[in-house]
Amino acid sequence: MHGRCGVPSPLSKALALQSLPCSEAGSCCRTISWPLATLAYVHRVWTASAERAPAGAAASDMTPIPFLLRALKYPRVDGFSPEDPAHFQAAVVWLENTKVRRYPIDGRAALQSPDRATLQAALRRYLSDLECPLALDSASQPALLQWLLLYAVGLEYQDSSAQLTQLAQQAEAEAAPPEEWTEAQLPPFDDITAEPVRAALLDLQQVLHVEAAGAGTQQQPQQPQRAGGPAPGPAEASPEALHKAHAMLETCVLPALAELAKQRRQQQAGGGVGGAAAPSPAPLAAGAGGDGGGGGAAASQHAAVSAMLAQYPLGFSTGDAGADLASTILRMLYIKDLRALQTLVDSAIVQVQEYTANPRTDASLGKVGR
Amino acid sequence: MAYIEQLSPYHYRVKPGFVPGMAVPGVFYVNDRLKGLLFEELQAFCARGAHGGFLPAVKQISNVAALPGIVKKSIALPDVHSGYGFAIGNVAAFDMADPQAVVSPGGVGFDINCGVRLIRTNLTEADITDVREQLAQALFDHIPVGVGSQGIIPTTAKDLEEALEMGMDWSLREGYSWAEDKEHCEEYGRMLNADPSKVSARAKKRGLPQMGTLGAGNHYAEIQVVDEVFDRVAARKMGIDQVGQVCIMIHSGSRGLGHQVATDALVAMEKAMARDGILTNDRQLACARINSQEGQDYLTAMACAANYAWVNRSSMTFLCRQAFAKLFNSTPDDLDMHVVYDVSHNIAKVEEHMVGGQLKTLLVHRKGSTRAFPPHHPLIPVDYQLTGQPVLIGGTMGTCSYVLTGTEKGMEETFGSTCHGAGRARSRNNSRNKLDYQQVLDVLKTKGIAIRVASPKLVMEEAPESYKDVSEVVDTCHAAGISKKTVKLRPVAVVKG
Repeated sequence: MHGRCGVPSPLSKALALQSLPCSEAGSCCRTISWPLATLAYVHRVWTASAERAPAGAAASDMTPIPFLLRALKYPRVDGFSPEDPAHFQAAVVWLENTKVRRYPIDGRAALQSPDRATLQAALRRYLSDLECPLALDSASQPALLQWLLLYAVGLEYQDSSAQLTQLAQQAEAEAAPPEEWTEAQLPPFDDITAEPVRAALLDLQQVLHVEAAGAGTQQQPQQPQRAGGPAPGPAEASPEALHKAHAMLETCVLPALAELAKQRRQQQAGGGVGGAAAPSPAPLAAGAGGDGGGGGAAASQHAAVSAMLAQYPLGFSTGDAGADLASTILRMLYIKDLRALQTLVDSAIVQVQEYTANPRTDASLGKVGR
Repeated sequence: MAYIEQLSPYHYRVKPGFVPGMAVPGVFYVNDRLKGLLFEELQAFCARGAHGGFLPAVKQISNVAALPGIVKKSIALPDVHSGYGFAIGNVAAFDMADPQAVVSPGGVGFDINCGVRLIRTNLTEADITDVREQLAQALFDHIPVGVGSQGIIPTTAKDLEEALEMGMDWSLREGYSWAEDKEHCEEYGRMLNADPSKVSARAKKRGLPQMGTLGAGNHYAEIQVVDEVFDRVAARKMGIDQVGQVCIMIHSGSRGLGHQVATDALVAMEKAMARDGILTNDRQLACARINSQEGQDYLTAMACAANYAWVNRSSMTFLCRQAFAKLFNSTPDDLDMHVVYDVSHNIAKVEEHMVGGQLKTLLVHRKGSTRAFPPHHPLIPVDYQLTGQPVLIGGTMGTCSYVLTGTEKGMEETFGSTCHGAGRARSRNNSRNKLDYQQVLDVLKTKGIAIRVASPKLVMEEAPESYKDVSEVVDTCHAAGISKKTVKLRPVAVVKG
């Protein structure tokens, strides 16, 4: 996977580092795992704080600092507070001593100085030597620390990039076929800010009609715009969108595919279309074309879709199964549009309520009858 | 008896000629047990002679079938019992294109837009077992009940005018309800032809202090738990598919305002009948041509009363949410207190239906009958397009309630209507004389149901013994195919007038 994505971003480097701990011990397979949700969370936090940090805003507890510290195997992660000057200094010293090594050992004394003025001067010089874009005076401590940590992560990654790539490839080679992956065994996930991943995600979103988070409220009831370039509002590769796509796949697409695969198996067993073909995992991934299995596959796919749609009442019958199916699909699309419209109406009402609503009660008016 | 023939095990027809002037047949949906009750009533009436009380339901259905402009048939649902003019549980549709066709306040009832609303929560029975009594008390404190009760939502005369015109849009504007509530409400909680100037000052005066009150009679607010799920897909769509999940059901109407609107209209219509020479079999069937001034006035005033009822239920929804939020130290949002649906079971609406292969615009009177539109009907919320409209069937105190969904068959046979509740089996006087209220309360206690009532002496009128068995009613509708069972709910706490 690394081969495809070009230069990894700092975050994926940190992720890769985090996956390293037992590489020294020689075993690695399990450590490649990283739950998608954590990645998404960290990414969101990271982008949010990266936006805020240059402005000098307090990065507060929303930074990925603990995560980065853990990735670098900083010994005192628990209870670490980037706001605390002592903690901050300790971390900087540790970074310089073990990771950055900008100065020779005797040149590091000023950074360890207990005297505040000396320390400030040393830090200022240190940052400028590292070509840090943040100024010591304007940026907050957490922001500075985060930059230092990311810098260190970059260095660390350079040191062992070959090893990491090899690990990833090995993991990919050793992993079970994709059908059997569980979340815990997934190979390291590419940073979703990487361009190829972004593009793939956008494609997926469009196919699934997943709207990007946040864009939902301003959207007009959009006309289905297919293949005519990216739709204007919706698609954006964010972790939220990724989750939505995941939810959509899980609830809507996968059950349908499973149903399809079941039907196909039944047909193979019964009709003997494919003969004694090996139970290939391929049907799951088969596209809409159905060119592989020929007419039989297309028919079974059709049957599966009809069976699924038959659960929904149509309310009338045209006497032709194909027309009924098309009507059902039209009805479903109509309901989807209607729901979008209703949501829009509801949110408009809520907006107006912001100005008009003032519900009052007065218990003294109450009178219970006889 | 020669005029009544059985069409299916759940389905009988009263042939024209049973009463004079029947233009269309009457049809009733009952199973054997419910049929017994109906015929018993008819026999008692024949033996007693024509005086005192309401006419028996079978006769009332047939009298309705003799009204000018009625289309197809006069339908009675399994919970039918006699009421003022029209039987309760009667559906009748009149052709808007026929200049003779009439609108009748009796076909709507006095409690205009009486209806049921179901609110779900994400609590389970275990969460409320210990606080059941407090919960009942909290609801009782928030929602004033009983005859002459007054609400705790401050309402000025101007507010009322606006509420009458805007319906639930008023509640939304003032922040008493959520945008999603409107989405999940019949007619989106507002009848657009409402004009408050057609509502008499007396009606407004009665309505003003009652906003956000439950009322008396069979109205209630109940905390219920999901007891059984029949249709998992539909139940999931409604968000009530967990057995043991806690819901709140509110059954209320337009209070004194609706009653006054109906009374005013009846007076005006008696004059109109004499003027236009409309003849009916029963004096209680006062009506006016749809296009006459009286007919139009009634329809606009009824729309106002309907809007009032929606605002009323919305206000109570707000109060319920407050009560729950306080007790569970949470917010209504976190408790997922969404309105599942809100149905009206006393209303007349202009709808389009297929009659003899032709699309016709009809004025459908539903009295004690719930609209039950099938999947894909344009008038039901988008969320229920695939399941059909949810139909909320309130049980009686201490018995179960149901959620049904509408079907295509119901659309064809009953103008998309189904039953509304249990339906009385005994008259109010009969229950008061024969039942003891302490006994009724004790029975509820043994069932583990917390109860708060404003007037214990009225409890026996509403005792389960006074009503038909709601399960029989619902099963009949299900078996006849005019609606489909989805969820059964069981009460754990009741607040009543």
